[in-house]
Amino acid sequence: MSLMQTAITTARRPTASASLDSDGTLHCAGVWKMANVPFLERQLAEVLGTASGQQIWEMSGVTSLDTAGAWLVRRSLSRLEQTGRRVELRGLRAEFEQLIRWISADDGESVARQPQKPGMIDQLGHAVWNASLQGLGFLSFVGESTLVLLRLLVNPRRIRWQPFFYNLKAAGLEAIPIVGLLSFLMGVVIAYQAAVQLRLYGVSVIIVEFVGIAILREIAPVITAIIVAGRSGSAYTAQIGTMKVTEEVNALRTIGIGPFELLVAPKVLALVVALPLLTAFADVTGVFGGMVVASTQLDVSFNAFLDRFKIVISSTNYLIGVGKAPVFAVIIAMIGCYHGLCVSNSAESVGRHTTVSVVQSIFVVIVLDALFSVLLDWMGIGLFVQ
Amino acid sequence: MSLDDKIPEPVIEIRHLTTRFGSAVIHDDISFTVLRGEIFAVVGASGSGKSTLLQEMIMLRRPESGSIHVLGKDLSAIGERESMELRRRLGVLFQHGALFSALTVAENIAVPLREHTQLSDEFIREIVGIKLGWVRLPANSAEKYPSQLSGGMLKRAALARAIALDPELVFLDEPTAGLDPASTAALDDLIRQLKSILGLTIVMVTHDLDSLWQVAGRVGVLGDGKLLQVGTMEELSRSDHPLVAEYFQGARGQAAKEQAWNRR
Repeated sequence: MSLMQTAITTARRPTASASLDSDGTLHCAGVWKMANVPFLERQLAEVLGTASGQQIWEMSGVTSLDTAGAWLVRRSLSRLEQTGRRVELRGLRAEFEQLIRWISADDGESVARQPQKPGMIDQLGHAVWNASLQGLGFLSFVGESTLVLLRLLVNPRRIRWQPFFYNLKAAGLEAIPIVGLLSFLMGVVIAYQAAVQLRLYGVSVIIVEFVGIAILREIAPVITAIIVAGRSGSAYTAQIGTMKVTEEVNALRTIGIGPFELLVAPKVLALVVALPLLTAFADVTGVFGGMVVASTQLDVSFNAFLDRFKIVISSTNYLIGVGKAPVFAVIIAMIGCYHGLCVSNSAESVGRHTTVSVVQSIFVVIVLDALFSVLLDWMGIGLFVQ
Repeated sequence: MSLDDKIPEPVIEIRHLTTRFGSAVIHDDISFTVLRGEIFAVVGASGSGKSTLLQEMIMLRRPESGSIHVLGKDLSAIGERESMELRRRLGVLFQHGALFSALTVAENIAVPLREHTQLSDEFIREIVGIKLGWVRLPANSAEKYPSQLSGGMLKRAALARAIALDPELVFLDEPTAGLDPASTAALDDLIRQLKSILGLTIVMVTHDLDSLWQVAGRVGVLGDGKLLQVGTMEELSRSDHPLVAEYFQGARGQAAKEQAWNRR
């Protein structure tokens, strides 16, 4: 082993090399740049593992050096020195030397030492803490907006009518086509499923009770609330969130306009008015969908359907359905506005909160609907005419 | 950064550039050259097309006519692959930082490194640390998200991302806008230092007269759709072109000039 020569060149990129000659001098040459660094790093590790004691690196062959190359040199030197070996750099161009000096050794490693990701317990703790903070935040939001709403109800002249009517139009009027269509389709679907069974037992005319109760009590209010949560709840979050990001909310505060009064209250009030109206409209189109199926599939004519409808479907069903709507409206508007105000100062957080707001409001609407069903049953508010 | 770069070669060559937005002419037959290793500043009143010019140089917008050569490549005739290679050699600092808000500062700086090199994760983290050190960001800002940073820190983090790949040519869009005087001075120093050590060529768009005196080698003044004048700050401050004079010889221009002289 008189001549220990390890030439490092790559077939793909023969532009950089580091080779050890017989007297232990490391000859570095070529382009010591980012593209070659992974390769040089591997080769240096291999070569330097065998070397010992005093080392000389002959750098005169290096034609260019960038941050990655300089850091590779610097890092190798400090690692060798840690293991008690001394390295002398020779023939380094002045500007390269300056670059290597400029890269202070602790910079790179101080960040590398930073903990990468918190542990599982840490994350769990953060999640619980954040969830409770969010819960408290929502509670205080509900409290504050209730106060503002009560104050406005006592003194209705302070209601901002322009945003109120704008929201009434955006959340109510403009939702009519989609709510009507979807409710109609739900009516068709339910009647279709029922028709198959009812024909089997020869009690086609029961379709009236079936469609009437399902649509009026459950389907119309829930489907309307879900559509409105998707259309308007998300829009509330996005609108208020964007205003948070652009500091418009802060600007309102400094001008002396409470964001609750201008941004939250009109939305809540508008939705409380719009949602019951939309639900009533959904009742009509949903029952009509059932009628269409009844007349085509079961030979129950429109007249026969409506005659029976008047007799068997009590107005309680209608009132329960429409009565749920304002509750849903408050939930949707509150959750939408709350998440809008939760947005921190980045555009990304607007998107995240919008998604969360829609998912939460649909979730709460369905949970509340289930609670309503159980509660009304307990209270003995019946399904049929008493 | 090799020895044969001593003779300045053109890094950007713009010839007879014309840009229109609908019927509005933004650039009307503009020509200029940026040489390797210089700091070239583009100034002009708001709406004079500085940012549009920048967008055209970094291949985000095509001019209506005229040619732009960047690092020897003709941008109008460049292919998909060539333009990707060219982009690796450019760094851009956007006016508002344009850091990816879903990523931490360290991850932001690492994006170009991960995308374009085969370096190991550990090595990338170390390079990120070096870049953070260069732009004077404390190590604990590495794990913060852009929304948690102040305006000055955001700019510096964005600059660190722009120089992550050691580009030959760096574009700075209003680098000092919205910064406090101390941060502005620090950024000016940093830009000069990067230029001298990495041999960068820098093209900057700015309104900051102090920065222009401190940093810029040559300055091009845009106005009325034309390039009114190109020269050093001293030449421009003595210019008799009315629009140029208005820009540089007002009270603020004079104050910046005096300050620059005093510092020498």
